[in-house]
Amino acid sequence: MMINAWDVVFFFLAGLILLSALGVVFIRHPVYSALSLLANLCVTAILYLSLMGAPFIAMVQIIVYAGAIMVFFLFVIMLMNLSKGEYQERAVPWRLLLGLGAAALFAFQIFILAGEWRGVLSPGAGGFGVKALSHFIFTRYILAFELVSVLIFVAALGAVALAKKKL
Amino acid sequence: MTQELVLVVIKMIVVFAVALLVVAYLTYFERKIIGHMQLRLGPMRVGPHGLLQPIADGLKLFVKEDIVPHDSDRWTFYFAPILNLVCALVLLAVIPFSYNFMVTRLNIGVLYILSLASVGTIALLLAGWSSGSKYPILGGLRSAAQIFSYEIFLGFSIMGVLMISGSLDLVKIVEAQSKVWNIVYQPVAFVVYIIAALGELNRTPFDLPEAETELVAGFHTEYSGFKFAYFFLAEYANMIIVSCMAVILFLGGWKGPVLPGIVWFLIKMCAFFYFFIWVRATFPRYRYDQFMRIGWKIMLPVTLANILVTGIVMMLV
Repeated sequence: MMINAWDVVFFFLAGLILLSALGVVFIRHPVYSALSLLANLCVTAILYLSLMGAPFIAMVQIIVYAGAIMVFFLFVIMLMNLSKGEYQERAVPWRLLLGLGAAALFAFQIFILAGEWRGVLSPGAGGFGVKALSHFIFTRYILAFELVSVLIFVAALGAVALAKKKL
Repeated sequence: MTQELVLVVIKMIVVFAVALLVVAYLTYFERKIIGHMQLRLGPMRVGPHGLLQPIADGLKLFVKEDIVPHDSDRWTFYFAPILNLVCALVLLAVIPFSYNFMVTRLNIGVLYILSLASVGTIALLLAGWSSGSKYPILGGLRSAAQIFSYEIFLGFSIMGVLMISGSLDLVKIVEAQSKVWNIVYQPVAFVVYIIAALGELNRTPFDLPEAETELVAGFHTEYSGFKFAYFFLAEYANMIIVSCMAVILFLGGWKGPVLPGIVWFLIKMCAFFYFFIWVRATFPRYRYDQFMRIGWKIMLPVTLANILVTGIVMMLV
């Protein structure tokens, strides 16, 4: 099996993703855990950008997850402002099991991908542009797209209903 | 290959060195212009007309004691200013200053800028939290709430321009304005963009995360020495980015008669700098709930209507 430059890039990024994902699960400190998640999301975006030739998805990943959702997470963590004792006492073994399970799943995915991704994921292999993506979204997957927007709307309504006891 | 690489490295050095110099002198011009608007002279002591003032300020920040508060979260406290400055400076990489002068051309330049600018706000949040005192955390939380208010209509205000030029590539957006600048087709979007930009820059009248009358200095209250300088540099670097984006999206980028493109670009950019400083000298700060109300109840519907009207007109024409 020849190892080319893209293999090196892939395994480097995959290693970083795995490491930061483990960090999210195992770091007790809530803010560091959130920062680890931020690193994870950014490296995943780099993976999309460099190996899959999908810059649009990479940037949307950063805008939606790293930009918006991470700000929400940090906002909540900081508002709760947990003191040290509260998060260090909980040593739950199921978290370790969950982490190992996720790691095993990821390793399995790599195993599956390793056979196929060569040539499919190399850059320039019909990169997924904005136009192509929006064409798919607004023609073939229009129903799914609209349903997802309804779903998000319902979720937002539900959040408001839960937060406001009296409407 | 090697030649290309060397060229890119040279361009990077030029862009970043010039940008940092411009940032330093922006502070000088800000103090000078506001001084004259308030019938003062501004800095006068260091060099002729205070021209060496930014360099003196920089030296002062270098040699100042670097204080880390006892209650702070040390690593995050160090990490936040770096993240903030990096997120501001890497944006310069995709700005096309003229048709062929840019560090790199990205076919999704607009999205790149929006995405990394939003990551920069996380740095403010982290800085506020890690300082371990109440004023910074209030400043940090305010900046987080502010990002939700302005980021949405910042993105939406750009949408009309993107629909007209049919591309996310900054070079193509400028090329699409060869005949008429986008500001003619999109005056409403332009106004909304400027207001959103003031929010993004944390500048008066929307400098709520660092409102000095309420929060001492907001998220950077506890920062001193060069870590403070990082925040300062990042803020002014963001001012450059926002001005560049306004020029590219609405004012035809490097297009203009007689003079070479890059000169036109810099002239238009400086006009925006002057505008931002002028606004600071003119308007008082908004109250927090007022700012939120403007964002959600006025700006958002206006931008949505703008997108709708743009779409209808584009279908009919």
